Amino acid sequence: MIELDAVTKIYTKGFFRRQNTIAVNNVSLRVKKGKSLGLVGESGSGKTTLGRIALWLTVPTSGTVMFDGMDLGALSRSALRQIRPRMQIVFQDPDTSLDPRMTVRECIAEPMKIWNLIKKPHEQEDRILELFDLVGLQPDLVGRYPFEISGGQKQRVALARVLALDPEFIVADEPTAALDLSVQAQVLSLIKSVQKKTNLTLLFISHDLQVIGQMSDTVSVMHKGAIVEQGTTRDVLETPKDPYTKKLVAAAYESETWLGKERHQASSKVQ
Amino acid sequence: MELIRIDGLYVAFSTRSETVRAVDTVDLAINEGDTISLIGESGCGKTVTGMAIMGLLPTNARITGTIRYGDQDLLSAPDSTLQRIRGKEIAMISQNSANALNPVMTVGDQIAEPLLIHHLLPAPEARQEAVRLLSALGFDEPERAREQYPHEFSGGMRERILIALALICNPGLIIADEPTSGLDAQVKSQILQLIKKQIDGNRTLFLITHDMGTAHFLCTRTAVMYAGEIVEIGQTHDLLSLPMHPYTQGLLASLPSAGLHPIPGVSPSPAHLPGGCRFCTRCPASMDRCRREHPALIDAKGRQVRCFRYD
Amino acid sequence: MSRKILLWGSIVVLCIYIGIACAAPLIAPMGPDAITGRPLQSPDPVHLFGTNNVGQDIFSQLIWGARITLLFGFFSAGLSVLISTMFGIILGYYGGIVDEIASRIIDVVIPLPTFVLLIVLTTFFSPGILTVSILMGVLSSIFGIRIIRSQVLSIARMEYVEGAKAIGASDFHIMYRHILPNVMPLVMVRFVSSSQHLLVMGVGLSFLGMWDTSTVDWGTMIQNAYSEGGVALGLWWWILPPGIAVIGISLALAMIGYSFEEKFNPRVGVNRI
Repeated sequence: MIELDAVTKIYTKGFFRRQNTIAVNNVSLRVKKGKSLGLVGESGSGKTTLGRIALWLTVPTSGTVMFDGMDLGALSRSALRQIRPRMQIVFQDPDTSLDPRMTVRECIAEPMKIWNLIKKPHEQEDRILELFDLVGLQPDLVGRYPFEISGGQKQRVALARVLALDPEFIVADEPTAALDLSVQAQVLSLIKSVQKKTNLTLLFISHDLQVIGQMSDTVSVMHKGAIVEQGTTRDVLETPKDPYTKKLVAAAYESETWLGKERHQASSKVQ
Repeated sequence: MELIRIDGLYVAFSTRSETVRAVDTVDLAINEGDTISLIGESGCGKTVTGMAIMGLLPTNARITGTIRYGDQDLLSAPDSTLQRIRGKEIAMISQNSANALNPVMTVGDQIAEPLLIHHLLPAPEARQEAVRLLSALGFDEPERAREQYPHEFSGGMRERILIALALICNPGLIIADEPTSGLDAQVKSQILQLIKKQIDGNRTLFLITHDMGTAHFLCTRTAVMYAGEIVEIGQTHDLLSLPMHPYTQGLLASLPSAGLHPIPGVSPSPAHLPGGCRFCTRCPASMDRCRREHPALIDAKGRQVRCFRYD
Repeated sequence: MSRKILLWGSIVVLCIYIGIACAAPLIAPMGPDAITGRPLQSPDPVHLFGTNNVGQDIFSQLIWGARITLLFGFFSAGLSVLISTMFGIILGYYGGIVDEIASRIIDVVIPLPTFVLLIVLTTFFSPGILTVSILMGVLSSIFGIRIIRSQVLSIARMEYVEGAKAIGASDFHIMYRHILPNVMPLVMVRFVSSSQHLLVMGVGLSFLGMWDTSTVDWGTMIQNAYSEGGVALGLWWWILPPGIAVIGISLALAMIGYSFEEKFNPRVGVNRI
């Protein structure tokens, strides 16, 4: 469904003495329809930039991005705008991803208004409450402003807004990095259930290998702008081949050595 | 020997419309040489507890209870006493390295500053000490680093600078507030090793974190906080392998490696704490009694748990 | 606490000024030009501030003069803010070559002394109050464009703007529904401080005789008092009233602008409406 081919992004700074930073270096990856690809890497690896390129929110210096067979780079500005509802993004920082001057209701209604999806106000309200139910928000939060609700709730609002358009593809850019452990579990299991229900294609970006392990079918490991290893989640996490991947896997599971084998069974059942 | 004893700590902030009970109530004894961690999620009151020990709570906080340190009650001690203690006997590694360091002072000056404030060493020796400490904490060119500014360093290096700041006067107690937040996995591991080496039997560590792996690595005792109170406290290894309180169990089940099983519901707002058990609305094993009565900490199997199921 | 009192006091003062200007025909005992007494009379129950060298009531002139002085200030400020907001948003949002070129032009214009420019320009256009206030508005908008643009730059980088693009919002929609509301606090601050600045400048300009000296506003009143010997003769009731009036509204506006700025400081993060 999504195909990135030889995508490169170079940022140049300065007017006379140009400094080039290679954010993404010749990356190719594919995500099949209905599947989830996990993009993992440390900060500065270029994964965030790549996520935005996949939606053509950032234009690559070279390379192509195919969405459902269409070359995004070849589309006119208005044609691109037309297909935007089909591909969406959820951001990492709940504090800056919502307009602080819009209520939750206005936030979620905005995409509906832009695309004239639902005309009548009371039908809009119904749809908003429907989406609230889908993402697990209490109805009385509808009139609140972002500063009045918690980080986890803000992420749910961001998700509801994105789902209002019924997209086929979602890029989730570290959606739970800023959230507490239990809230993270809530939001991630929500994303998983929504994905299953609507057969969404998902590009999940994270620095947390264990989260990726739970959320993705296939994994691509990024380091300094390039993909160093790709494969099914199981293969990459259990038998990593690239030295960098090996280091990542080792570091991730090092902190988990205290979770002994008996713990695994015990923890998954709350008595 | 007991170093710090927190008794009945209650911290509330009054706003125009409501009272926010950040800590309600905490009793904790920390012995010399202990390594103890306070685990919890944002809003549970753990950072406020740490701040209370340091006497760094804002002026609109209403505090009751006592924090005994030696023969002083830190909560009622005068500012001069607190200033004498801070940095020299009790030091804090604060959370956000980006904001905790002065951007216009060199690293060396900042690290040496506590020595000068407490009149422990004259200026030239203080600067030498800063270099020595930087070298011990992994800086390859400590002389050069001393003259640099914080923004010239990466997150991991800045965290080391914060650690140096805390260690410079050789305090007996270190309070570390989320020392590895925002750091990549490899850097995090290095910093934890570093902290462990520096603490190693010489000092008392009070760790505040949400990361259970960190707590397990650094501390022998752990207390879990929820909605302003301690809900479980005991030996770290036992507590994390076989958690007793439903919240601790739920927390461990939420770990990605454990399957991302969410705890339903949200934590209660500190401004509207329920009567009865504060976790009961989210607890899979709640009983009638939980709604009506507020449980106290009960001794069970070498630990203390705040849950009627162990009564 | 006293800060709040100062703020509310200033707002009240401002309202009084505006009220007086609006209700001039009802409050002023006499018309602005009417010669109703002997020249250079000291204050008495009929002429509260005495009369000027021609015999006009200074008190009435003060009230009528408020209209023109205030109107000049608020109108040019309004125009200035309108232009600078529009261009600030467009330049900050689109960026690119247009922004680069425009910024360079602005950099060139800013150091030029406005007064001199104004004098030069008014030799080309006939110096009526309206013309001068339009020119003032346009010239001072150049300073404002920079200020608004830089805040727009940081707003445009926010993820919610990117999010709006991602859901398919048009550029106009984004500028109107996302950027403008978030820049509004700054716009309001600009309006108040521009009003203060331009109002005082207007008094200065009219003092210099930039437009028809027979119009009655505070600037011409001061000019009149000065050149017709009010200072030399020490006739305080002739010179002081308009001067104090200007200082009064200037302080009030400055106070309001200052507390607005404090309240809406973007560094404080999310603003409550």
